[in-house]
Parts: sequence; structure tokens; C-alpha cells
Amino acid sequence: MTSSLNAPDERIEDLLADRATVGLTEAEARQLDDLQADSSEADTDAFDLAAAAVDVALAPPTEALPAGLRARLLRAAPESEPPAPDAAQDRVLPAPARRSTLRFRFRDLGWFAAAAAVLLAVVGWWRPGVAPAPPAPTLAEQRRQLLGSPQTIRVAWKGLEAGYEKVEGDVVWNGDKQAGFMRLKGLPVNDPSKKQYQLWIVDPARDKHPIDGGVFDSAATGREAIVPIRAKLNSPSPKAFALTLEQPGGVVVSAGPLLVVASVQ
Amino acid sequence: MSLAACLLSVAVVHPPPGASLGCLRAAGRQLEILREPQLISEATSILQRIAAGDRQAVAECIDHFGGLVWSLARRFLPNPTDAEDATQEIFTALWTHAGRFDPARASETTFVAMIARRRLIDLRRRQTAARRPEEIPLSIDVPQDAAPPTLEIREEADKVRAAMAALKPDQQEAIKLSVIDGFTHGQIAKRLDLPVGTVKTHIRRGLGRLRDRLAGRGAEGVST
Repeated sequence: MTSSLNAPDERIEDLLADRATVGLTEAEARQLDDLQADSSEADTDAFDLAAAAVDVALAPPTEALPAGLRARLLRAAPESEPPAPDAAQDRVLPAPARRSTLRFRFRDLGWFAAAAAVLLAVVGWWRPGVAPAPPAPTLAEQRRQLLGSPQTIRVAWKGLEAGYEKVEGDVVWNGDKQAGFMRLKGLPVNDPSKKQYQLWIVDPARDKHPIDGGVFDSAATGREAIVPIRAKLNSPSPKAFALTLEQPGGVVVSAGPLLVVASVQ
Repeated sequence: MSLAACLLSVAVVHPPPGASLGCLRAAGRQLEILREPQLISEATSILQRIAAGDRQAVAECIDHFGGLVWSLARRFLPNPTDAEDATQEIFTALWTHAGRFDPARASETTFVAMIARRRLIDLRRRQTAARRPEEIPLSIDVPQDAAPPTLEIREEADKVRAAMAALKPDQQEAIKLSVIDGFTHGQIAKRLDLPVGTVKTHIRRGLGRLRDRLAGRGAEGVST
């Protein structure tokens, strides 16, 4: 960044910038360690902090921590005062079993499993007033739920290319929740080993490039399918949704053509 | 047809057969709008309290930075299970390295985001090496909204945006595509129609300038 940098320092900055954005290979990480050992460059976190500041400022957190994950984190939290940094990992994560303990576990695994099963059965039978967990809602139920939320939009598909004229269905999207579903019927079957459908979300307020909405396959044209949208980036106010056929796994930049489009009026 | 008209006719009203994403991309370039950031609120010294052995601060850390870490994990890792595991690893690292937080160098939010990004970049690298078609989950959780930002965080975000605005346009674009969108140097080079080496230089110099400006060193020692 300054013209006065010597070659090793410039290489250090190259590696620090890479670490802050795309990460380093093991070889690059070792090279960085070696170079830093011989360098006067003191603030090795500065590039990472700059990238993090940009991330926090320009990419808003979109989701609150799920309650189940919060409970899991609390269970994993240190029980008492945090130890010295290098020892804390062992207190938070389960320590590996010693060999003798492991042999004991293998030998008694069958008895232990049986005893645990009996215990679970007894506890499950005995605990009064505990209802079984409700089944997870289906995609159709989740879609209906989303349709009932404020700010949810619903737009119909329109086939553009030959063979896609009879595609029916719609897109449901909620910019606040960053969740949505595609409902599709009549989409021609694709061969996943050769091509996959890829959803694109056009949202000029978010990005000048269409946002990757994930790839999926169509197995049967006669049945209606509901596909959850997994946008790679936030899309607060999409103007259109489009499907293309791309190489397996999807592409970063598509040349089209747009097969089916759902436009927000 | 103008680019804006392209967006209206292709994407919004009546898309003709043969329309391509390039047309939409070009239209979006003219209609780009600055977004209002929404950041989580920030406490003053949660990490310092954790480092000092305050047990209550651990729960506060989860509640305060949970949305930030979880949102980052979801953005980096499409698979929700991977994102949950990564979130736990990140908080473990936070509790372990809380003593490294220095309020003179960065805010707690930025420090937390740095720890999270390092872990997530590493995980993404490993996953990208064996990329496969995204699996469509049988069910998804409808996400809850993140907490609104505090005035303090908004002010910090304003400072970062101002520092970004002082960069050259190519530097801004390369940093956004790399830091926010997570594209590789090769992908950015393709998008911006630039050599990979130039993209790397834009990112390195841009981050260097940001580093200096956010550290209060202005534009000293900066070259383009």
C-alpha cells in the first residue's frame, strides 16, 4: 500500500489481504508465519479488522439467533471463570477419551446402549404432561404461513422459451424474513448430471448483479413442486425472479437465456 | 433501449424470449440504491468481562452477538447444520480469545465479526473445494428478524461507508464483491472484466487504505 514497502512486506500484505477475504492455503499460512517472524509488521489483524468492519457496515444481520441454537451455545459455555486462552478450548469442547477409557467403552457399549434405551423409555413414559414434538411443517404449510405474513409478495411465472410456455406456478417472497418459495408445475425434466435449474433474483436495490437463488432439479413435469428459495445474498425488494438452465452446481454469471420469469408489477 | 428501460421491459412488464441476465445486470447498474444498514446493538465491554471471568457476560455475549454471528454463518454456509456447528465454534473461539479484544483498535462488533469471518472463510474454502449441487432441504426455519441497530453502531457504519466512499470505484467494487458477496479473485475478475492480478491489487490497496482511515491515519502513506 505504500510505495516504500520492500518485497517481503508487500508479500505479507498480499497474504494478509487474502486471509481477510478468501482465506489462505496451508502453504500460504506457513509462508505468512515465516515472513512475519522476520518482519517489523506488528498489526497483523488490521486487514481482517478492516474487512470485518466493511462486512458489518454493509451487510446487515438478517436473522436473530434461533432459540434452539442459543440453548446449545449456553450448554457449551464455560461453567466457571474462563481459563487461560490456550486451555479454554478443552473446557468448552469434550476432551478426547483416553485409550483405557475407550477400550472400556467398546467392551461395555452394548450394555450401555441397552441401559440408556431403557432409561429413555422410562423417562419418556413417566414425565407427565410432556407432549411429543409436533411434526415439522411441510413446505406447503410453510409457504401458506409465509403468505400470511405482512410484506409477502406473490408473483406468477411466465414461460419465455419454447417448451416452457406451459409452466405454471408462482413465487412467494418476503423481503423482511428473507424467505420464499417457488411453486412450479410443468417445468421440463432436467438431467442433473448435465444441467440444473438455477434461480436468479433481480434486485437492483441490493445488487446490480442478479442474486443466485440456488439450484434445483425438476423430476416430473406433471406434478406441482414447492421449492424453498435459498438466496445467497439478501434481497429486500426483488423486481423479478428468473430461471435458467446451467451446469451442475450452478454458475456465478449466467448468459441465459431466461426460461421462465416472474415479474413484480 | 436504455438500460433502465431494459429492466422495465424485460424484468417487470413483459420479458421477451431471448432475454438474458446480462441485460438485467446492466439495468441494475443504473438503478443501484444505497441500502440502510441494520446492525445489532453493541455493548461496551462484554468481551473484557468474559476475559475477566464474568460468567454472566458469556450469556450476554450470546444474546448480543448471536444474530451477527448466525447471520454471517448463514451467508457463508448454505447448509443450516453447517452454519449451526460453525456458530458454536465461533463462540468457543470468542470465549477463548476474549482477552485479545482491544477497544482502542476496533469495536467489539468488528472484533466479533473478524473472529467469525476467519472461521467461516476457512470452512468455505474447504467446502468450495468439493462443491456439489445444493441440496434442497425438506423443511426450512422461517428466520426471526435481527435486532435493530443502536445509534453507536449506525455511527460506526457511517464511518466505514465514508471510508469506503473515499476509495477508487474499482477498489470499492472489488472489496464489496470479495468481502460481502464472497467471490473468489477469479470470479471478481470475470465480473469486472479485469486481470486477476489487478483485482488482487485493488483489494489489497483498498483494504490498506481502509485500515489506515479506520485507524485514524487518514490517507498517509497511501498510493493507488
